[in-house]
Amino acid sequence: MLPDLERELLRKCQAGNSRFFEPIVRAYEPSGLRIALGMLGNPDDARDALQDAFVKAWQSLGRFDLKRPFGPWFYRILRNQCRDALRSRKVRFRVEALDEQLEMRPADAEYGPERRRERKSARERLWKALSELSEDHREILVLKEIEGFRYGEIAGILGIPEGTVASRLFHARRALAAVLKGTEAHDA
Amino acid sequence: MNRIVPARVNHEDLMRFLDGEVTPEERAMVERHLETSSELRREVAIFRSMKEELQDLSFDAHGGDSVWARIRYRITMPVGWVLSGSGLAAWLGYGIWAFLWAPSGFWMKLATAGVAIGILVLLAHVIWDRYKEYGTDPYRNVHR
Repeated sequence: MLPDLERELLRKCQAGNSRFFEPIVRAYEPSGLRIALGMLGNPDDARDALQDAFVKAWQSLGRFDLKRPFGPWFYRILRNQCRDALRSRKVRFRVEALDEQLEMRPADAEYGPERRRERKSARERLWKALSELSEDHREILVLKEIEGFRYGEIAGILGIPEGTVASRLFHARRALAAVLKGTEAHDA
Repeated sequence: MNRIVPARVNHEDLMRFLDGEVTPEERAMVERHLETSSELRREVAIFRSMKEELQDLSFDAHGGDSVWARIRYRITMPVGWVLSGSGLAAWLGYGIWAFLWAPSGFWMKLATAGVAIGILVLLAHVIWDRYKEYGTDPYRNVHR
């Protein structure tokens, strides 16, 4: 969405006109859902967290500075919402439910059934490994690898310096490599 | 011009190199290290392969209904509650005032008050029971 259009819509939302919030929700819903799914590992919980985050954003819009971009501010609310959900211990990573959400990429259709099965199994193994990481490590990998944010954007969302983003990514990748190595050793 | 190359590449520089967030000078510095260290090359290869696998995890985020309908309900609902609550309070206040100042006899007023208070007590009782039931209901998170 164009920054000027977004600012104008948010200005109208701040005046209390809720129908102008719809384009904002629709613009940020896909990426928000991917982040929440990556963090919580369960489509139902991800949708609940996303919905709560949008409602909280609406309720806090009065304090939002229109000179700043909406995205990082909203993703920060969403990230806190996901963390609260994880702390409540009600959510459970469900690899089989995530699999239903996995997008069939055009390249997948070109492979034979055997290769498709291998890819599916590799993705499940990766999801399982991600679920075993700490919240800090999982969220930074989701933001970087699945959502493709740059370091500056991640720093804004997580409220940490860019140097810490790089350092946390290193430890997250090392932790993931260790989990994957352990899984391979276990499977062998 | 010979540049001083640090003894080893730190974690932050390695990650920024892997994610394409380095300046051309920093890239050249890391590449020089890669040429000389097989251990570093192996580590970069592992991280690259993991990065590709992670990027392959993608969701059909456009599938399913939008959450907007539920959000709209939640953000507009308080307005409805405030309006109906204020209206109800105004009507109730007026009703009590009219009742107290009505020219009916004492016994008639007492009987009417008994019926009204009785209904309110029963209603409160039903609400309280439902609330207690909800706390122990094992199916409360099941969506119909």
